[in-house]
Amino acid sequence: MNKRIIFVLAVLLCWTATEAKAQWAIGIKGGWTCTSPDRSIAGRIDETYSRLSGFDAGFQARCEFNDWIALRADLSYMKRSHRMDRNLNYLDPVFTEYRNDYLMLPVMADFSFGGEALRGHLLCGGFAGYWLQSRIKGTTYWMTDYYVFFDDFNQKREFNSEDQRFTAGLVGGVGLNWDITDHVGLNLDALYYYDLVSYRKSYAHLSDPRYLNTLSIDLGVYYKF
Amino acid sequence: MALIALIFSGCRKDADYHPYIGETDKLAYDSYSTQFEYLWKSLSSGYVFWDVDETDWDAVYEEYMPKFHALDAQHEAGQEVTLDDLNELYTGAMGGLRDHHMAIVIKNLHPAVSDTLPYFYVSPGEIEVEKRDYFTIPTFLLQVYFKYQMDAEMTLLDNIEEQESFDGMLEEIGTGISYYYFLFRLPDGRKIPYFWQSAAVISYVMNGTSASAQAAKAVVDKWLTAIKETPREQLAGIILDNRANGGGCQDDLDYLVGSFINERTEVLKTRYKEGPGRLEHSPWTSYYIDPKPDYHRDITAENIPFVVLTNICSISMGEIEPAVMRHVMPTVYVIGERTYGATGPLQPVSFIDLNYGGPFGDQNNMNHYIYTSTSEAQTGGKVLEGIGVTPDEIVLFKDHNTSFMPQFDAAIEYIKNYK
Repeated sequence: MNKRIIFVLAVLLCWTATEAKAQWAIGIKGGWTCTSPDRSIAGRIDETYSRLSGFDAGFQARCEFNDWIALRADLSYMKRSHRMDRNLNYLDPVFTEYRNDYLMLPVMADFSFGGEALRGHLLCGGFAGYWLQSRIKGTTYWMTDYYVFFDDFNQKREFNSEDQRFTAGLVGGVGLNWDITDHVGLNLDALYYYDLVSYRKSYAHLSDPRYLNTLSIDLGVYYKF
Repeated sequence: MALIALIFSGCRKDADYHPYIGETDKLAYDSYSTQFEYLWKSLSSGYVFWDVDETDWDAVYEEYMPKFHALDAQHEAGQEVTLDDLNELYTGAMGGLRDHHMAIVIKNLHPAVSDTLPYFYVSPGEIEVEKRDYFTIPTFLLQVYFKYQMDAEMTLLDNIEEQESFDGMLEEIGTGISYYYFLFRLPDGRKIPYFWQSAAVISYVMNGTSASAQAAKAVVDKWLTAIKETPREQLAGIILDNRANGGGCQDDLDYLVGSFINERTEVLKTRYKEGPGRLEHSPWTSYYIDPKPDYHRDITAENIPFVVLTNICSISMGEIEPAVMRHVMPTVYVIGERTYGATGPLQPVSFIDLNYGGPFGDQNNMNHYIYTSTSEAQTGGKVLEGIGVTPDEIVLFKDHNTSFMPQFDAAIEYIKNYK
């Protein structure tokens, strides 16, 4: 039933766009990301989890139905990385950075306001994503009977059956568009991706869901036609 | 953005409670099912072998949790729950795990009149080993039998040029240790230094200051000195007898490998649980041994055969030693039986916060005490947990009328014919 409603709405919007001689804009964008994990310590009492910065780059498309509402979709390669640190006395050199690459597809309603050339935007919608690859970098340890030794590592992380590679969630934010000419413009967006799908699968009788939150601030250029 | 998080945070699921593994022993369990749940969760998060263990841990929960609830109902109805009742369930639930170091020790929360002991003990390793076709008697009995049989049989050998033994208590460890050295002489006059150890504590005795450590050190010193100083033309080969060796110190590799290599060498890789997910491990990290000058001899360059004897009672370091030595020294040759299969390194319970894995519980209080490997080890790219070391030449104890000599004879024959 929900799928039917969404389909009908999409058709209506497209028809509206056609009927109202909707304006299309396509472009590229890129910028900075910052990702933090939302997870339980799950009994590992000295661990802390923190955010890491990254970047994203990709394409954007916008279909303006009228001067206050548009449909916006992006397709971007996005770094969604985070970090774990041990804080136990002599183990505090130990940490792991999880450097993850995602393909992200946010689709958002774009509500705009302001002047002719310079307009503000409010964006909200949902996204789907796919975890392309992962790399781990950090310091681990090994022990003899009496000593602890530390070892650095930087290597590809192999996926296993506990990894959930498809993700989805909510996305929203604000933006600013500047039409330089009738056809070319710049946009600056701040979007917040809020995962609703855990990046780790839980077991039937012991659930340990973990989510990512990513803030991206992007600069883009678009062509309107 | 904060609004999104605030409004929709309820759409995210919360994690189930994961007990902090370091204090589960202090918890006051009000029911058998609660205790089983805590142990099940602790092993789900902290057991290091989920990548190689075929046990369906979720199926174990689904099958056995109702049975523990039934025990609770039995107790609440005023009927005794005995250690045998608990033993049966824990053996069924955990007896098939692959960790061959594992010992599951559980106290009856409500001791029954018929309980003759305060706790029971389940060993998944013993359960598996007893199914092997070359199994004869329980390993703890075989270890005792081996020592006395070896004492008797070795005295019958004619070609012993010198011998030394230590059979006593190393007080600091608190365990009876036997060391046995002799210098065997072939008919052509060449010599074979032989050493048997009932536990891997060379590194301990070489640094120990007690009278018993000094006495044990003298035996080790004789063997290592004979290896180092016997001229090549007089040295036919070397025998390290790791049969009935119940394990001990990782640092023994400093002597058994370090004495025979010329440069820093990776001997194995280890990894531990980096997170509560069953497949969440740290990266494999190399464990290195440096050359040790005290008794150094390059047996590879001199092409000196080095036989390590093993049997089903070669456990933990008793089997890690031949696995590692054979991996890094080409002239090492293993004769005997496939070993026990307890290859995961262990740290004491006091190290629980390092790894969130390994032994946990309280040996004294013993609501429970679970002895399990702290790390997973890999030698030559293989995890040998539950499998053990397969010898280059198999000679089975059961095929030779309860004598251990055929395995020793095979070592002598190999060295005699070695080129």
